[in-house]
Amino acid sequence: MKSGPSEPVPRHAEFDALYRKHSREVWALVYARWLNADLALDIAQEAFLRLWKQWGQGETILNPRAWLLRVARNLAEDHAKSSFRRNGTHPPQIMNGIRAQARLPLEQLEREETFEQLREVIAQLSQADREILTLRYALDYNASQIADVLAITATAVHMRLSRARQRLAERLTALGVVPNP
Amino acid sequence: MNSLQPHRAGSLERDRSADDLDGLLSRFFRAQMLEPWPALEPPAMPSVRTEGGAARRLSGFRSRFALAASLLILLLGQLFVSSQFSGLARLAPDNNRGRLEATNRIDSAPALAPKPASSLKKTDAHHPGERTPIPRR
Repeated sequence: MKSGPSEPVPRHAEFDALYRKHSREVWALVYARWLNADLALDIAQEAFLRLWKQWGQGETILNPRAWLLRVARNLAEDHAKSSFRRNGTHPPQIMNGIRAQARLPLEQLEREETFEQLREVIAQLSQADREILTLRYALDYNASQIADVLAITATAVHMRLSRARQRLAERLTALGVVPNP
Repeated sequence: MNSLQPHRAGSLERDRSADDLDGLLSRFFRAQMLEPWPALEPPAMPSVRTEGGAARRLSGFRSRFALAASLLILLLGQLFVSSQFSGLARLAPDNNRGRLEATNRIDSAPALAPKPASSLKKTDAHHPGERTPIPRR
């Protein structure tokens, strides 16, 4: 994935293209880990800045997409190591649920409540299931695109997605968020 | 999606429920993504190979220059000191050399009667400060 150093050249256009093309899927993988959109964006951007730094040091990265995904996953895991120190006993998703005291419109309040229930249910799924769901529903990726990002087969994506949806449906039905099938 | 909608049995309802779930998931995940998606402007390219490399080269040059200058000063000092002593040796005659050195360098050395130069071996005067050995009988 990485070869030896070479002379650095300004690569703003290449960097911009990479960011536009892959930043959302990098974000999606980190989001699937933490279910925290702002943190995911921070980590995704940090991964891109590290790529930029590597280029600045003259490193040649043969597969920037795979490199970015790997670095973002590692950064997300590194965040896990210190998250207890930062958040105490409260996981970040609970802290995300804390809103300002200003009253929200009723419709938005209902939506936030539903989303919060959904977030809690999604948090109970495995990380692999969350990754598939995020790529499927946030980025509207099809099975082959998801398989490409996660380096698994499209069949495995179909199976995992089906099972994840089934589990979600059961739990959300029990909570009354979605109607019984 | 309205979560309080009454549900009816049948495949149509199952599809609708699946659609509800899909719609809910789509809305949820898309609401998490920032719109518009933020751009990322990379910082100025860290030109470690140009500026950093030049700085490292300059630092290396300085240290090598300092080492060379130190060696040169050491060498010149050694030459200067040795030239001073060689001038002193030229002033003193050979037959008084041992006594002169002993007198100058060891004040506490016991006074010995000077011996004739012919009785001294060649090696006697080579170690200034040593006592003149007594010749064996």
